[in-house]
Amino acid sequence: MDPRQASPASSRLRSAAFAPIGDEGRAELVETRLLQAISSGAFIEGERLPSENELSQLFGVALVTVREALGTLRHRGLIDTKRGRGGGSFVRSSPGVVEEVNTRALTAMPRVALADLGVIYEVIVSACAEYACLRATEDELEVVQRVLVDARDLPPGPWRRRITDVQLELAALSQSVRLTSEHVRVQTEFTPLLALQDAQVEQRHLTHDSLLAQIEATREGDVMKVREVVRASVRSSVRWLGGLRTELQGDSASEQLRATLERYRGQSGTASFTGEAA
Amino acid sequence: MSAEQNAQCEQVIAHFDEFVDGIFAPLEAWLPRLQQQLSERLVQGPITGAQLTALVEAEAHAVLESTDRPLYGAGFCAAENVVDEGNPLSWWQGPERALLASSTFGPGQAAIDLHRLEWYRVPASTLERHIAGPFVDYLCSNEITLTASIPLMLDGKFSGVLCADVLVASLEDLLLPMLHNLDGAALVNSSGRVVVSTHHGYETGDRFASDVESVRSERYPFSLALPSPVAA
Repeated sequence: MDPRQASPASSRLRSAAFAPIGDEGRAELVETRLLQAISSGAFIEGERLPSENELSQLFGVALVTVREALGTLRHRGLIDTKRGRGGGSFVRSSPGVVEEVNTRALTAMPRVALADLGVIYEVIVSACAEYACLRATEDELEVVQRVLVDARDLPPGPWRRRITDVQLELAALSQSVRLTSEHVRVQTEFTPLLALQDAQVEQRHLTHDSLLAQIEATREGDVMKVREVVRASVRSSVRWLGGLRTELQGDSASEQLRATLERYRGQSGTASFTGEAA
Repeated sequence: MSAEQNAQCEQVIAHFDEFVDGIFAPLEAWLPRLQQQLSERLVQGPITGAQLTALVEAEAHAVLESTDRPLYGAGFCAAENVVDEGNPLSWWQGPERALLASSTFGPGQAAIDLHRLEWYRVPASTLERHIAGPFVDYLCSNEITLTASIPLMLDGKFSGVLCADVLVASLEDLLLPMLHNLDGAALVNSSGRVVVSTHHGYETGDRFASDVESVRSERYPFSLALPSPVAA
């Protein structure tokens, strides 16, 4: 082959190198980060966000940029701003605001993108789990298992936060910084969708049992088993979300979304008893 | 291992112990002063995370400046009897010696159970100093880290830990040259996890089987493992 002729691979790498950097505004970036923090449950309904000054320092952006981002979030109905002493920006405390945002995100997502998010999530979690099989100690697994077991009967919000902790901790047991960071990235993206299942106790228990099985397989150092457990659990969640997404097509008003969500949860609640043990 | 190898291992471990002594030294110097400050302050009851941060900032910076050890971060993490509101972790780290973001705004609903963290849990239960890791420190450095911690007691009650940490990456320059003549040797923690290694089959984070020949540190939970060529 003529060495001067570019191979398809090097051509792909070239186009990757010169992919547009984009100029998404800093305010949009701040808005996206805050939205992620709220929709993934890192900040809960009614909780105060850091002050404008703190946000400006944390993000390393100008105060005016922070204000612009907060303005958009306020306009979207996600936060309230109170003036004066004890004031600040608070995550809207009316129930279901965050869930509605997450439901809309699911509706807006092409089915292929949802499935692909499931793929990358499954692969990252499995890769972390595989390394944890080789590297985690009995004591470390014991600590995570206790956190998980203690969380079993918590209400949905606190339960999801604890589960996110457990998932992050399991990822960190890989002893790989880069895998753990990738995990945080995909977890941040996927958690808001996964949380749509949480009103159903059966779905919570499926996730819970699957995490217990993952810990057990990790303890045994059984790489095949751990991959199998992770795959079954992620695919079951993606199927559930895919079904919900289909049901939501055509809904746009808040009440419609809410009604569909509740109807779907009612139906699949009985379905998950009959099969799909993750 | 041969007597000669054993002697070399002893020497490396002695160097490592001395290095770790140097991490603990500024914390030991800080301990009585912080004890004094906190017992005076707590007469009126527990304080907030923000008050703790203001109280310990200068000393935590002093720890970072006072030693030639490559410390990445330092601070104090308070038990519930000291801080009852806001973030109990006052921590500065990195080249900028920046306050940890979560120390600024508090953990809120995402408050972590400190007992999950080895560097807190072990001193809280043994009341002895400890050095935890290597582990992925996703709360602070987001690097593979060793964290040294000393328990702080107030009226006989465990009240928090003074800590300093070093990144494993910054230990390599110190340790790898010392392991140069011990091909296949690795510094491991008490569960056999590799800190640094010259062994081809083992990298930081991997674990050795417990029956590998090793020379233990007398002061810290680490040993120098030297797998026999057969095992390798």
